[in-house]
Amino acid sequence: MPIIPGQLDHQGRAVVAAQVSVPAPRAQALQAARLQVSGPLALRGQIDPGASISCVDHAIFQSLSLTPCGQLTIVTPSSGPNPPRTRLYRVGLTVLHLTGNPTFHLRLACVVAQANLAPLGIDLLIGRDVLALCRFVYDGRAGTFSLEY
Amino acid sequence: MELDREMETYQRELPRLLEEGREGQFVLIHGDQVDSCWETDEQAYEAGCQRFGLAPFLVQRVQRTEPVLFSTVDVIP
Repeated sequence: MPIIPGQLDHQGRAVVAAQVSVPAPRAQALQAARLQVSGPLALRGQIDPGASISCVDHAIFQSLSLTPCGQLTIVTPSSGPNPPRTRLYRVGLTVLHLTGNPTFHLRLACVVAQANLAPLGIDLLIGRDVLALCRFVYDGRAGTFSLEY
Repeated sequence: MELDREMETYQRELPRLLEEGREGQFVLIHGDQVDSCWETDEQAYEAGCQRFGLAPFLVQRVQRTEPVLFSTVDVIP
């Protein structure tokens, strides 16, 4: 099974390189309308076992000409007693293996929520929906992490 | 918000979908019409792109109560 080892950053975060892309059915619809299909975008993804669902920075969806395919209520630390509904988008998500060998990349199609992540210096929050397919080890003492899938 | 109309359709049709034994399936909704039901969200999304192109459509899991999800960051309404 492929494994991605890494060093925790200065904030103790486990950050991996990832790509997000237009799902194949959406790409075909864009091509049928004679619109350009944007290539995959490189993202910095923070692994976050505290998140039920993965989130992508809202600016990314516009760059890929993606539109929402659902809505969901998500509770956040500041959402209060009446958390708002947020838009959900279907994307192609790839977590890149350090070797660069595509055979070892983690590829999946998933539904993600939109969030304002740019101020945090990341574009992607990898939640338990993705981690359900992986073994994630966080070693705070050693300052390292590993993601096996 | 986008898909508000489709969500209203889902809420209106939910009792019928549950009665038909669709719980756990994924319903494809365009405007105020239920188009079809699918076993996976991927199938429903593909059908939506094929049938409605770039027009808005909703893929929603049929369930009696919506699960509560959590995020450590603020999502955008």
